[in-house]
Amino acid sequence: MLIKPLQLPSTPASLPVYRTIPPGWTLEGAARFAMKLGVHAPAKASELWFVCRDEESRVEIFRASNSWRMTRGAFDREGTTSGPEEIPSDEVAVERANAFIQGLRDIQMARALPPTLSRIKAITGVPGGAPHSNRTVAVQANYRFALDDLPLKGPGAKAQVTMGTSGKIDRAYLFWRQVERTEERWTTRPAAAALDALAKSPHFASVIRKKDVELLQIQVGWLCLPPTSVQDTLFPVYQIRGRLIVEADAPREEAEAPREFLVYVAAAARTPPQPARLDTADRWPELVIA
Amino acid sequence: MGLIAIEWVLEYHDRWTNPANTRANAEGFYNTLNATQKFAHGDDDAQDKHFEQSGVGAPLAGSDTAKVEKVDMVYFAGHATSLGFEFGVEKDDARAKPAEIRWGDGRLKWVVLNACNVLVDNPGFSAIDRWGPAFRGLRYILGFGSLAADEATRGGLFAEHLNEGDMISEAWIKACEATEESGTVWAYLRADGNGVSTERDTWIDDADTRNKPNPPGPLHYLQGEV
Repeated sequence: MLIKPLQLPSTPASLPVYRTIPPGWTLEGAARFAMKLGVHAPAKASELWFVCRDEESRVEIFRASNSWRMTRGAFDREGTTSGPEEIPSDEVAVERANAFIQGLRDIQMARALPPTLSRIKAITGVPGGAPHSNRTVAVQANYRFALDDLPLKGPGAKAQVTMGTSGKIDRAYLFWRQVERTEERWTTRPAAAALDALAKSPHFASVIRKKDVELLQIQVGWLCLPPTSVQDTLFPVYQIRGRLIVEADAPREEAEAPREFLVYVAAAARTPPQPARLDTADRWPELVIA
Repeated sequence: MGLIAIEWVLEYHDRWTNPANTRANAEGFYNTLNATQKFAHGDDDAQDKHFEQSGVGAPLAGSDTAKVEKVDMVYFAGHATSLGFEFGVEKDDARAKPAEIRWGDGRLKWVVLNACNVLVDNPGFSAIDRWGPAFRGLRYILGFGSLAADEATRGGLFAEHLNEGDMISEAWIKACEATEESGTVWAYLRADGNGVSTERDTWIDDADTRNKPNPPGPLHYLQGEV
């Protein structure tokens, strides 16, 4: 049985179609951009990205989107050579990360939502032995985005700034696509209809006849594919998080180990009416249950 | 050149929901990495005993010496919980559990478990305590400490970064960053020992090494958010 939440999100009857603007990276343009991140080196091309690398850092610029990643070679990710007292405080981390992101507004015009903080945790120890050494080695400021008050979902619209013990920005990335709003509209379908499609899909149809599957969270948003993927259109989707419920007589440890899943279900019954480029057909991506 | 293998599950025969992209994910890795392909098992041909050591844990069946211990890196794509990773057919018990596993006494160096929650670390439920006994020469287990998406391109991206000479750990983190929603937790476990440091392992430099971190010293666990 598919156990649905009591309340489902409400979705506008239609949503604008947002087309992406191809990034148009060139070797020279990639090298110029890398200079903004402090890396002065020519760009080398590979299939998915341009790479600029100097003695200190490496910048990858993703050819399919307006995305980049910067990594410092000396980043002490496991915190083995310096102490935790040098990690910036939460306030300093947010201030420094905001300044860094603001300095790159010419590539990414959307306003980020206020960042959340997370930490890289390192643990060293002997199995079953003395208490393990547990330390925080870096703080991460995480940015998400929204469009028309709907969150951008999936891997391709987010940013992160990581600061370890060096006093510098050790890692950073921005995954993004520039978009333009068109006159076209998606005709959406309500969450209940999307859940019906989910229940009938080959991924769920059989198992829900024999087991209980509980849907815990349903959110509507725009799906943004990985920064390495060409994407013509932002896709309206329901992001659904759920779990398989274990049998009532299952051992306690089974009940405490959640059998979770995360899926994306199309929030429109059809693909956009006028595909922009037939060679990269605007069909639902493999990540989406249509 | 190093040897690789993959196992993936799309059809769970009502034990779980059926993923949509595990095959593409694992085959992306298999077909992209500069390596010698040893075997690729999918659906009912993918079995937990291929990862388990005979005579260890319960059930006692295991054939890792003829399977995953014949390669340098193996990549699994399917479901998991913090108790182990899951298969579609109950030829054994359909779950490869840490207590049934001893890795690295053959050729195996790196294991990628592209599956939810398999490297969760919580107070009282330590990843090092749970998975530590599996390290018998193994260098790394890479996976997730949270829910993760059923995504098609991660294996291929991981392999691209390995081909470019990125460290094993860095390649995994980059592949997770590019394919996961904000908030997903990447994680890895690695072993040093016997004078061998694995922190800066790369596929290009270390796939053919015969030095093993065995007996393992303290294990290192790292996790962070995408």
